[in-house]
Formats: sequence, structure tokens, C-alpha cells
Amino acid sequence: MKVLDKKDANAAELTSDEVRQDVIQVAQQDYKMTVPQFLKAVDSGKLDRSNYAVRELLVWIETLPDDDPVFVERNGGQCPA
Amino acid sequence: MPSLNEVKSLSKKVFESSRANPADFNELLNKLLTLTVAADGHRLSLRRKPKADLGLIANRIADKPLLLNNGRFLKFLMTYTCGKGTPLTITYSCFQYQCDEDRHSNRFIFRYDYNIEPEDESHPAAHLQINGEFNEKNVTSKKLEDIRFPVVRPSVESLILLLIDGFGLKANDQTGEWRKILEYSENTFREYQAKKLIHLIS
Repeated sequence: MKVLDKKDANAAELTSDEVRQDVIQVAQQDYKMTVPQFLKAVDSGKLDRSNYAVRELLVWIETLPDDDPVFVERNGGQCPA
Repeated sequence: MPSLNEVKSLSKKVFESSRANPADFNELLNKLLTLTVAADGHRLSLRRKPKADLGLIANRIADKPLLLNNGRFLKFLMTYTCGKGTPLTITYSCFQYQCDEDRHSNRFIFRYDYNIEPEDESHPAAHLQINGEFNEKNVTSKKLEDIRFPVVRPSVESLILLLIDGFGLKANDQTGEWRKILEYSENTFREYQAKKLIHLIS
């Protein structure tokens, strides 16, 4: 675990950059995919969204802004915002 | 260590205002965990979606689950919505007590799961899974760990009490005040839930 220093522990609120780094890392480590590939795999049913690990990653991704770069490829290269 | 008065004032702030602030709710949960079962310096994080009324409180997904003071781990994830004029509502939660630090641990001891909109209709919205074995033979073709026992969604306070009273964790607070604090916080939360229900009905 990344041990929280005093400053981080007091801050406690995660930024979009931190969440983006985390979800990119987990998608790569756990599924050998990029985040857009992971989202496509869920949309197509290749990955089961009722699976705990899949759902956990999905809920984190959903906290990124709607116009975040990770969503662009899922929307056919178009930014949804 | 947080005192009863600190938790009281924070609980009031979270549950007695018309629109609870997620940052205060996160702080309340961290105070309860610090007081009881969390290892020193280990905390939950808050994540709010920009320009939206939703977010989550959890251990960071790329990190290990929350380290407890007995060396075991608690996977903690709670999502919420908190719209204008509507109370803070938990939409999904997963609390998993486990032996190792693996994000996808097979060595979990129990897991509570709640989803306001279940993905699989065969899963009760709130359920408990226990990783163990039946003492009796021919009970079911399923493994015990795959059976989802329907439950009422547990509060964080009752989860902490289960870890202490059921699984022998020692509270960090040596004064014994922690039990009163958990009781107070849970009662405030239950009153908030009841008020929220009346708000939804009326």
C-alpha cells in the first residue's frame, strides 16, 4: 500500500488525475487492457458487469468527468461533452 | 483519538442537515475506523465526480485494502448520490474482511454487498457471503461461499462491532468510550434513514 503521509491523509479527497492513474494501472494489471478497451469489453458483454472486480473498476471510472480522455474512445473518438 | 463529543458534532453535521456533505461523511467514517479497528495512519479516501452529485468513499483501487490493527484487511467501497434537495443516499457498498492484501482475494472471511439496482436478479439487493464449509453433507450443490444470504444493509458501525465482538479485533481506543460512540453514531444514522424514508413517501 502506498503509505499515506500526513499531508495526503489530511487531504483525503482524490483528484481526477489520481483516479485516472489508478484506473489505468488496474485495467492494465488485471485485464491487460486500456480503460477504453475495458469499457468496450463491458459494453459488449465480454466482461461481466456483475462480477465484483469488474464492478469495482467501473464505479471508479464513473467518477471521472464525462469529458475525460478515457471516455473518448468508447464514444467513437468523440468527446461526449 | 476522536472523542464522543467530536463524533456527536460530526454526526449532527452529516445526518441532521438537509443536505449532508460527503466530505463530512468521509471524515465521520474515518474517525470511527481510527477509533476502533484501522491500523495507525490508514484511512479511506473520498472521490467526488466533478459537476455531478455522485461519488464514493473507499480505499484506493490501485492500493491494498484498508489495513486493520490485527494485520488483516478490509476492502471498503461505498458509492453515493447527493443531489440538490435530496438526502445523501448510498447506492452501492461492499465490505469485505479478508486475510491477505490481494484486491481479488479468495481468502475473504465474509463479504457484505449492497446494490440499490442489482445487476443480477438472482442476487438479493443486500446480501452476505461467508467463506467456509457446511458441517452437514448434501445440503446444496453450491459452495457456502457462493450462497448470498439476504440481509438488511449493515451500517458501518455494526460492521465494526462485528469485527470486534465476533472476530476478536481490539479497539484502538483503550478507554472503552468507542462502544458508546458507535452506538450514538448508528442511532443518528438510523434516525436519518427513517427521516429519509418519510421524505420519500411524502
